Amino acid sequence: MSNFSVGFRPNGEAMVLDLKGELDAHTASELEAAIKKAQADNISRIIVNGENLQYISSAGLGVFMAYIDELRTAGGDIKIAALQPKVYNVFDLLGFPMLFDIVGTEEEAIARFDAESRTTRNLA
Amino acid sequence: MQRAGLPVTSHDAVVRAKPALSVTNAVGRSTYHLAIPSSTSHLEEVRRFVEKHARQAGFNGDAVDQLKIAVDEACTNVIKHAYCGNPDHQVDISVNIASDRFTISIRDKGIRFDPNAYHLPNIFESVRQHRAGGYGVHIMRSLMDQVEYRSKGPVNEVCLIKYRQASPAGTAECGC
Repeated sequence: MSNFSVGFRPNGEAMVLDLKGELDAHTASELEAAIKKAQADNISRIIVNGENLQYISSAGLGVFMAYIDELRTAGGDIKIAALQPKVYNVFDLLGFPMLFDIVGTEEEAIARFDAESRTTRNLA
Repeated sequence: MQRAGLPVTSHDAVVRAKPALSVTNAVGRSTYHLAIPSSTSHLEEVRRFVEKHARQAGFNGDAVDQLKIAVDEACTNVIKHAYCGNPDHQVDISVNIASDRFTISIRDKGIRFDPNAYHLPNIFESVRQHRAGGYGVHIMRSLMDQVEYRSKGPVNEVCLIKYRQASPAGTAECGC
């Protein structure tokens, strides 16, 4: 039995993925399937809520690396929110803060998406 | 045979459908063993095994977390690269608790990893190429005081060592 689950929850124009448990090389495929499902539903704005994520290895981080480019090309992004410090440390070890929006709360992630929408509209 | 993105041969035929545990003791030291099939479905069990003994050895929460992720990365590399994802082999994990250090040994009989050929991928390049791998060795080296690879005959071993206090210059006591 896998100690990992992904919940789907819409929040405005974004889809929130609630991660729970331990994300490793065995469970990474579940996160990958969740992101693919969002893409299939034409959702490119994804917020990963890590409040209940207890553990991540490089295999889990690799899923974010594999999909971020496609989602940004489609006008969206993956914003990562509410990570526990021990999980954030692993993101930091690989330099993720240089590449990803990692914020303290889901509300901050929504605010970032909203700010990007305003910028895009003003440029148009 | 080495692994560096080259074809594979691996030797041992499997073994056990379920993990096996054993313990050996010597004066002032304790060694615990876990054998698992070469499948990522056993990674959680490996982490629990290391967590239990690291806590018993008195390591703090941060150190325990670091040992767990290091052994996960090492076993994942063995499963994915030494055995190319074939679950019909065995991975042997040993934990040795000494007065000054905690040593995890991971052994396989698959394709040998050449640490000298390893280069940390560029994260921006990984994103551009939608590629996700190659970061496990970096994590192990970042979190452990020593990471040593060795091979003897068909057996490959990686040793992950964490000292109780700031790392002295020492020699890893791997069993190869």
